[in-house]
Amino acid sequence: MAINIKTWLEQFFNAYTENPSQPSNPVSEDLFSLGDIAFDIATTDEINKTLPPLLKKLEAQLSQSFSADEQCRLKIVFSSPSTAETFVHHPSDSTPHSKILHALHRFFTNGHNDLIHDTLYLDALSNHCFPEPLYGYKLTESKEMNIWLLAIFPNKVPSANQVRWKLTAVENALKKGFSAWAQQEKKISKAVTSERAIHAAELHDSLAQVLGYLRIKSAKLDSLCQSNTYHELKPVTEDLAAYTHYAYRQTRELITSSRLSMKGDNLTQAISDSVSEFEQQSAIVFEYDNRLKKNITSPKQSMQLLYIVRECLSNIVRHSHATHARIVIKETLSTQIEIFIEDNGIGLDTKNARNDSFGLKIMHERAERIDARLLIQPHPNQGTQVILTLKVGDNHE
Amino acid sequence: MNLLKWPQSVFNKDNSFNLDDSNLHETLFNSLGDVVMIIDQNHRISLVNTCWEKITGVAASSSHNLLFTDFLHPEDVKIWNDIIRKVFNSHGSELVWFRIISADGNIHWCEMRVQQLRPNEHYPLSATLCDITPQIRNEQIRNASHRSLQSLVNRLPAMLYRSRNNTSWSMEYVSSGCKELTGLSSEELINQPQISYGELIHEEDAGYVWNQVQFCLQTQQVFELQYRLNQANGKCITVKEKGRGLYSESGMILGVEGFVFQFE
Repeated sequence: MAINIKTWLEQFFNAYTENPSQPSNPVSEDLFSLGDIAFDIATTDEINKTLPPLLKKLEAQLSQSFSADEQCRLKIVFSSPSTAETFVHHPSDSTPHSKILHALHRFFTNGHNDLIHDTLYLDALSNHCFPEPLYGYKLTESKEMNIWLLAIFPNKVPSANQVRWKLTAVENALKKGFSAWAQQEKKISKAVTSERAIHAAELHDSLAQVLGYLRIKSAKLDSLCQSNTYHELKPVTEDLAAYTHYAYRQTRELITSSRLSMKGDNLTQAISDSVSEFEQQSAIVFEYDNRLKKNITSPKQSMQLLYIVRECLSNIVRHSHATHARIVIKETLSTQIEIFIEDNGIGLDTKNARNDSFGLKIMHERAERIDARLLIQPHPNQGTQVILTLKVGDNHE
Repeated sequence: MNLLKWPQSVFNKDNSFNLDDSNLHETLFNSLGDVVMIIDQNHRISLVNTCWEKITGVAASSSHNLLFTDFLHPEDVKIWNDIIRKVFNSHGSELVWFRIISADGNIHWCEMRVQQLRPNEHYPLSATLCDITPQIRNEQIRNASHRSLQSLVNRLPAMLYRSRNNTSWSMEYVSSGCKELTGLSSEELINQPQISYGELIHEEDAGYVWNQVQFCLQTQQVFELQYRLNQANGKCITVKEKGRGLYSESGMILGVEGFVFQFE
């Protein structure tokens, strides 16, 4: 029997919130709207846009339960242990002070022992010296993302029991909402990956094989037309062979794109994984030097950068005859990163480059797509140096 | 504090030391081939000797009050924070390796020994630091060479082995190719009394294999064999093997080395 997920979730949350066995507390009078909130979270496509108005609504509700001097401000923290990133969601009209944001980022990315518990209390006197006292409740936990509800009390701080009692219904509704949202996100991500894998397999089995065959045949035709007898055909067959090869290379690239996936769009980790993969295929000493303090490239930029870096690594392993290779990523300005890929090999012979070599052309195309500057030049000492310069958003703080 | 001031003379006229002379301590401090430093509670450099400049390219006098973590590779700041916690917990001295980025942007691998300057106070910390970049580079080259050989051997569509000369052919080393050949992993085959390569050899061929190998070992020849092998899943395949003995200088047989591959 087919059932619409939205309908099902609506029924599920309504049933949950209408349960008469729930403990009564100051916010339980408006349980129906808490059910709506959980439902909104569970079904949202854009969590960033959904949370600010929702938190505002919750704060307004809670203001009735706390006294006037116990001002409760809510934040929801998404913390990704694998990428060391922290996202703080807050009501749109109350942007937290940068001190609080930095303190939260430090606390949630440093792997404190406190995070193994489901509740937190932090203030200026605690080890972590929080500027404003806060209570924290863990909403969901996974390898990719931990989500916390934070209740910050800039003025008078109520006791832990009092806060817990007043926030239980909110906490439970959010737990339900985020748990369903996380499952939904996981399903979408799985579906996208599997769709990509199907496309890759189809491309590999059909188009790439036909193009591979055409590539060999057109190359043979071209070599036969090199003799004087067919000199008039020569320009045509040369073009034909070159473009067939180009189409073949682009198809192979598409297959690679479909197969390549990045965990959490984390470029630096993906490059590190690629370096480990390529170093298994050679005796070259690879040195990976990532000086970025955090991940600041967009998913689109990260993907194109990863392809370019992988093409460079592949060239180093296949053609460079190098013994050492170095990959350095650094932030040269607050809005610019540079990636250096260097080797001490025989260098790039641009004058005698093969006509059928499209790797460099594809690298340039990929760089253009993200407005990056790609420079391929002889290394001042020996070998080849590739420098990729990319502007990144300045709002990554 | 003047860190770089070089004393006029720390020696007496008869070339003996004047141990009370404070210049002597400074001369000694700055003559050391390792960095010696004191770091305060804000992780700023309170005191450092001149060797610091050799590693960082920044003069010791200019480094006073600079954040020590600003010299660390961003990925290694966590290592530093962890080691500080360890020092506070153990109240002893801890050893740590990390990367320092010098003024010219180059990386220097360093080994630091760090401890509390005074027994009952967390800060300041005292530390010695030495540049171990050449050792790390050599290790990287050795690792790359080992990794390359290892992956070559393990990717070969054959099983390379070194075994003892007994009827079980108990293995000291087998390459990863053994999984495809026998159905057993290298961990299952190496030095295991329960499972041995000898037991996988077809019953009717085991005698021939033993006799052929023994004959070649005695005559110090390379042996070449073809026999049947029962895989772990019960399937019987034909394999080819080529190998030779390992001998001591006196000619004693120490073991057997060779390779086996499936013969279609």
